[in-house]
Amino acid sequence: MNRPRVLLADDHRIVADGLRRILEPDFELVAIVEDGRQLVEAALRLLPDIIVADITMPQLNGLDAVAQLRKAGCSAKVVFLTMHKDASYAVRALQAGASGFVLKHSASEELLVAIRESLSGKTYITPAIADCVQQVSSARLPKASLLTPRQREVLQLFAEGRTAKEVASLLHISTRTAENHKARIMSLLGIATSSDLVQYAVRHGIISAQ
Amino acid sequence: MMRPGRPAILRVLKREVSIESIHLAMKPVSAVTLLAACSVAISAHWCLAGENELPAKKHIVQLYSYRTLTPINADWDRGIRRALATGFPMGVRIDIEYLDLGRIDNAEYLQRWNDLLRMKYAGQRIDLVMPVYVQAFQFVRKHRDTLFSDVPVVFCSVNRALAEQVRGVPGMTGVAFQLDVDGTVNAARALFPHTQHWLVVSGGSNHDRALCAMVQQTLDRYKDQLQIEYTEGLPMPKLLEMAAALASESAVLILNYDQDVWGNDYTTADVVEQIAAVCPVPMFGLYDTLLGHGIIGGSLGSAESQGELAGNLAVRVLQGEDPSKIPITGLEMHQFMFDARQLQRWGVDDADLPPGSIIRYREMTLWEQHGKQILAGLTLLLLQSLVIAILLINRSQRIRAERSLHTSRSEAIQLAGRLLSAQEDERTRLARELHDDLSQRLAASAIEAGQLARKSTVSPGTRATLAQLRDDLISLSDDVHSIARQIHPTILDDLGLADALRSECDRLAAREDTAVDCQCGDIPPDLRQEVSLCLYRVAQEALWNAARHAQSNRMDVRLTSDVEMIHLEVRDFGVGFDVEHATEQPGLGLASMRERVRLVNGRLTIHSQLGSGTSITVDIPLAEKCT
Repeated sequence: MNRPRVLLADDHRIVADGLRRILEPDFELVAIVEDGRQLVEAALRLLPDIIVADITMPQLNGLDAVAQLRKAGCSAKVVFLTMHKDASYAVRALQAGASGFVLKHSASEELLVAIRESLSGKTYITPAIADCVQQVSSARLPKASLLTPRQREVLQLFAEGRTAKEVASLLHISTRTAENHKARIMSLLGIATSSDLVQYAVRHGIISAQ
Repeated sequence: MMRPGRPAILRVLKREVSIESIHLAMKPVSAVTLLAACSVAISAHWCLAGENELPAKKHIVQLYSYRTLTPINADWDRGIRRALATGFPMGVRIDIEYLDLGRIDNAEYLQRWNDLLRMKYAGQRIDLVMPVYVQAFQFVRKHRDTLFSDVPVVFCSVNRALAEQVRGVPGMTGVAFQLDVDGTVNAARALFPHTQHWLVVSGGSNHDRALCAMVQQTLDRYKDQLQIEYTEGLPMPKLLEMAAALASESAVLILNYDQDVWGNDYTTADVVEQIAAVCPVPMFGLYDTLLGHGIIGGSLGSAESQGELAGNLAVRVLQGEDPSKIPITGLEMHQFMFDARQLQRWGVDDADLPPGSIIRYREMTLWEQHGKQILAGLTLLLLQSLVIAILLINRSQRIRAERSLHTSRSEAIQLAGRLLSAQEDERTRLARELHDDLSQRLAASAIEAGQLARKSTVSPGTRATLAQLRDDLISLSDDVHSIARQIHPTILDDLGLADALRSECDRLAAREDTAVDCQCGDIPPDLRQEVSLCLYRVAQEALWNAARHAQSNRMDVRLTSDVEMIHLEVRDFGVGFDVEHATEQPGLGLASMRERVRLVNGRLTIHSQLGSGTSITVDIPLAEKCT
């Protein structure tokens, strides 16, 4: 059977050498690249089965490179290999489309496992942070409904029925800025009409229902 | 009439008092009014008694040769009175008789004066007789025995020859004069060298003629060099005609003119003024009474000075000195005096005048009249200008200082900013070094050790050692990574502000065993690096402050943004602190927080109350403003 084809991206030659020795017995190492741009270029050209990449790399970091590849239609499995023992990185890696997250210094034990898990359609996250990732991955999405104090002021004034011009003069800002505020708030809150805006304000105690 | 004056006043006073008394007696009056009336009457009597006890004033009888109110009489009188006032501050009693002997000097007139005076001063004590000028002196000399026997005589302005005649006469002394004809003529010749003809103006009275004769004795010496013409008593119309026709090499010398040959009376000063109006050549004189009336000047005697000298002698005699032991004085009292207006008229330069000349009637220039005021005004103006200048300089210095202060301030801000960014740059470099090199090499070593441990050829003991080595390397690599992260949050560059904040919160939560709720809104992805670093550092500082000091089991972090601002709030629910007090404390890093926020034009606000937690908020404008 054909050995799976691996593309390795790591800008540290000494690490890359170590990784090559781990990978070569079981996989066909199609190329070793040293930065994000090379990674994108090589991946699209060589079409590997799996990409093993560092996150922190010159020119273009691993996360952005993978995001570009996904956009370009590349469906190769991705295992990130990083120094960052940090759930934030792991969550972002998964968001970017990776299926493996391994700490570099544990590579000799975990890399091959992570690759095989990935190839079989599963997700592997290094045990050191796996629990954290589970906890935060849901909570960490940006909260659209969070408003700044200024936005709350603007929302209240509009909900009270004032025009953009009145809001602008009350807050010492330009009418255009007031309008921008309103548009942004409505988009953040997923509101389409001014009456929905009033309802939202009433519901959240920003203005009182008469 | 001074003498009967005082008793008359007293009599009037007494009469008034008595009328008042009668008036009072007729009406019922108050005792006070009566008392007042009495006291007036008493004090009037008392004053009268006091007056009687004072020593009697010295009594001087002055006999003037001329009629009253001639200019020269006024000069003599001024001098005599000045001297007497100095010698007798309490005053003397002076009776003056104007004998008018210049016009009338016949024997009967003189005899009548004699009778009149004898009758007038009969029974009066006279302390001194002062004849003024020649005719009066001759009158006194003649009638002394009958009129003023045993009364000392001090004469004033008697010609030298006459004075010589009375030298040593008991009870007699005085002041003599000598006209300095030579001095005047020579001065005139020096000033007007072309002068060849002199017109000598004098009157036709006996005395005018006598004086002229006296002068002529001197002038005769110049007969060879000068043509000298005398006009004794020439009537005024003719005299004026003659004066008007004088040629340019002429000069006029004025002597004395009391009367013309027709018997018309004049005063010399009037005559001078009339001649001056028509005369085309300068006029000289011999005494200073004429100065100011039209003569240019000359070596002049002074009636006023002679009068003052005589007054001084009178004081000495009245004080008891023996007159015959006081030498006759006044002969050498000439003074070169000139009229500035006449000097100007005849084009004479002051510098050409004889040394020591006195110039009268100088018309003062504006400077001479108002010099002090002008000077004061100028000084004031100068001072004012000076004050204004000082104020202007002061103002410009202050403006410059303010400007340079402003420059220094903005430079300091720039410098602080550069310092901060240089520090951050250095930290970034250091962190990258640690992360990219050291940490990676450790990782590589750990991989190597792991690979070795997995080899089948290795004995179990060596495998265990290698595993241990690998774990140590992992631990070491973690530590280095952690240090690098503290130095510079690479995560900020890799994952952005929101993730970096969340990660920081997680780390804090893990380490301090506290709940940290970090919520981030929709943050612009293109946030400037210095803004995100600023917010990260402020949040980091605030979080660790809270962990160290707040004793709070919960912290909230909110990161939100709108179209104007990005907004960060770090809040704890712990013990709180006194904000005003804490700002001065260096330990909390509040100053460095403020500095970082200020550098990105943001605003940092700290709310804290003891017992109810602390909230630190930062607002940073998203649009970059010009600084």
